[in-house]
Amino acid sequence: MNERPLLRVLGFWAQILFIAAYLGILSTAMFVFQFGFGEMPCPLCIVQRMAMIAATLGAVYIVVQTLRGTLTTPRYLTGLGMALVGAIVGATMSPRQIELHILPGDPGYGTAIMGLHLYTWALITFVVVALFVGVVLMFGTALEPVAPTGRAGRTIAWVIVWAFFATIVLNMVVVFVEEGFNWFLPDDPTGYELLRQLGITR
Amino acid sequence: MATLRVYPTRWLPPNHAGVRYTCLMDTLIFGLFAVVAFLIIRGGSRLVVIGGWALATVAAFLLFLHHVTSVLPLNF
Repeated sequence: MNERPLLRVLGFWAQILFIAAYLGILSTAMFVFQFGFGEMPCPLCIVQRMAMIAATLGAVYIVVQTLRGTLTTPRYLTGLGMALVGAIVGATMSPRQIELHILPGDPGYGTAIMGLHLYTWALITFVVVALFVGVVLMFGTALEPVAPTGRAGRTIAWVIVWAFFATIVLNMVVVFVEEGFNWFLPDDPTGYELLRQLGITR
Repeated sequence: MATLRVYPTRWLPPNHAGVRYTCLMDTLIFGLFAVVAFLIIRGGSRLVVIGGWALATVAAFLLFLHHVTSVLPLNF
């Protein structure tokens, strides 16, 4: 019996694609929109980033367990459950921000991409994740991942996993600079509070 | 916006209201997610991973609820 059927190999790379997609989305939000365009993320943007991270950690869990050779069906289901719950949590957050700007004539918050603002795209990604988990579950254990045998495949997988970890840490540092020594972010942030508190900017 | 003052310290610089706070909710939650991610990568036990992940996710949702106490400006 073939222990590496094509579907199980595809299952592994589908989880890697899941992580890489949110890695790209979170990096674009930070490096392009926040640092590039100077658009400060509001508190609702930040909690949606957290939901994206929560969902993606499910895929990270599956990939790491696979690479370590310790993936079992219960652990596989744990990872899928984490991804689904994270997506549902995020899908309850995004509509709130969409509704804040739903009135005709409201320009929305931040730059739009293809006519949709980032919080609308965030909702779309959460729905896509929920659909992805649903489709994967329909296949039962047929898509339960197997690790790549080649060194290149394993290296790519570990690089993406560690890059996602670095993204979480970077988000933590950036939100600390934005929040400063306060309990919460202001509703409409206009600058980096920590730099103001330290007297670096006004 | 309401703020919660806990454990004021002398060594921290004051915030815009001239008060010294020690805790930062968003930073803490990202930190918790980072710890969970590290545990996952280092092969932490399933129970600890799920527990930490659930704690961070619930905290993120509570933070979301904190920011949505206002009434939506909708009038149909």
